[in-house]
Amino acid sequence: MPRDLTPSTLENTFVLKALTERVRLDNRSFNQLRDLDVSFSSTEYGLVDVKLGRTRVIARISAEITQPYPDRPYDGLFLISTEISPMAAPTFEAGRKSEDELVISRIIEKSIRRSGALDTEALCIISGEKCWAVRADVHFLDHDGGLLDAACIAVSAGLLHFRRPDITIEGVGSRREVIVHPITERVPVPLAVLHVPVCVTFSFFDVRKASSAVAGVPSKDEMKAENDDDDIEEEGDSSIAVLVDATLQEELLRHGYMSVTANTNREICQIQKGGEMPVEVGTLLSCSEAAIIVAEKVTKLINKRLKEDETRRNVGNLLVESRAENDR
Amino acid sequence: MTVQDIVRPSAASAKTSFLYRVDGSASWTVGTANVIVSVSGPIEVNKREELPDVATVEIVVRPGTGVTSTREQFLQDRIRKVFAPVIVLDLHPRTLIQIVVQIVQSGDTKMLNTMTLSASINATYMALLDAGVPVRSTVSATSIIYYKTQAQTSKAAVLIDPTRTELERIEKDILSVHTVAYELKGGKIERLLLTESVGSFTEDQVFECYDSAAKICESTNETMREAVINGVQRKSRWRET
Repeated sequence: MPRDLTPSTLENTFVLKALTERVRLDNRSFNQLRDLDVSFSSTEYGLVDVKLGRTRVIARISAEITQPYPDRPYDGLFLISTEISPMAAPTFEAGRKSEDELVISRIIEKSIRRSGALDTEALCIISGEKCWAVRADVHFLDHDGGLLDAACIAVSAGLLHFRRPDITIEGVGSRREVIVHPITERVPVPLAVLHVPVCVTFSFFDVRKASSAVAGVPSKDEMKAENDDDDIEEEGDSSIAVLVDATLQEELLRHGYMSVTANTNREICQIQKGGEMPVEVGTLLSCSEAAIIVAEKVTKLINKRLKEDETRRNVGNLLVESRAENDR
Repeated sequence: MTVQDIVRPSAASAKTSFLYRVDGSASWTVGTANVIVSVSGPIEVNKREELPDVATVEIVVRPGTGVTSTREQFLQDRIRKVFAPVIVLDLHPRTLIQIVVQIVQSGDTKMLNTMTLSASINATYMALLDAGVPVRSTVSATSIIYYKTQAQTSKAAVLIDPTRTELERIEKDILSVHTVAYELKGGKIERLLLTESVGSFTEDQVFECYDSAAKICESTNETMREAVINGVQRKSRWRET
């Protein structure tokens, strides 16, 4: 396995210096997301392919019937798996949990499972005996930063897209039977998704370190920053650069980060701040606001793609296309 | 039944060079099976796994849904057996060729592995080509299934590279399932690399199966060639003035 991806001092200096001039290497503004694409499979429910710039992640949602936990007889099961294989980058070892993986799995757990995005009570079939176990498997295909953000979008979108088989319960008491209808017989049923969590990661850079790194650079005071009204840290500490959706290079060079998961109900599902850099409260609050804006944009895109997928699937389906009203 | 009677229901398609962090990548879609394979190599190897005269080959198979089970172990073993004689390992001693097979859609029913195996073999070969790993010949694989029909009780009907829907439809009537991989040189069959046959079948059936598979693998080879040509044209676009 190759060693880790530590960037060179030259890269470090260049990126920091560019940030002091409010330039990102891919010419995005500080709070601009990379191109996001969410595509749903037309042959399989719950299979979604998310591309965030060069980062690519696939999520698969599946469900099977099992016994609920004895201490929670009215709830179904919901498990999220976020194992990273060497396909994402050769620095990840198969079978070994990297630190990145642990962080991602914890934050996804808090963002989606613990925030109750999926209603597990709706997964109960016969209390104490049978319930649905929903499983979300995230596969990381390409690592260019933002694995966590892409994974969260993929699982949220997958949960909305997935359809489980319809069931009927026949008989009474202990002789009850659960009949699972294949999707060729009965239209499959969507999951009860209560809200759509979207995770946004903010990367913090201490730009004061830039001038000390490069000799002969004019001090911060002499440089006039462009007036960018959207930027988060305008009113806060100007020695901190806050970047939204870092690429891998930016991720490796950042001094601190904060991942905020928000939804369109203007709720914050979770916040995790890491790295060694202290950040002013005002900046953190602005980040949360920005996260909500991103969550709205992303949810809008997911819904748009879901509608397109449904239209594609329903072409020729007369039952869906027929209606009683006249065209006016 | 002659080979001409057998119609391949779905065409296979391949894509290459779409992952940025690995040396080579390919996806193979046939029936409802979809497998993505990445290849990195020759790259640095752990001292524990280092071999003094040849490259070490690491194959990781990840399922689309669920935890890794013995099914993935089985696929890994078969893929290794297919490619061991094909990759020129002694050109890169003390290095690692890392192959990761990510099954996106298995294309199989619960009991079968054949579509996943044949799609994985084809995708692995395309990914090795994309990564520039030296290989001795072309590899291609296919899945052939014999099943009984109400109409002909004496002769079995045949499905080639079927979709999951087709498999579910005939599931109870399956007689035997064959996954066959051939080595090709110059577009022509050279050696048989793999046969995985499960079920009950006659000697005539299995030899007929090998003959049909040979024709199908030659046409799969054509699909691969086109994909490679497209890939090279795409990568050479900067040359056009």
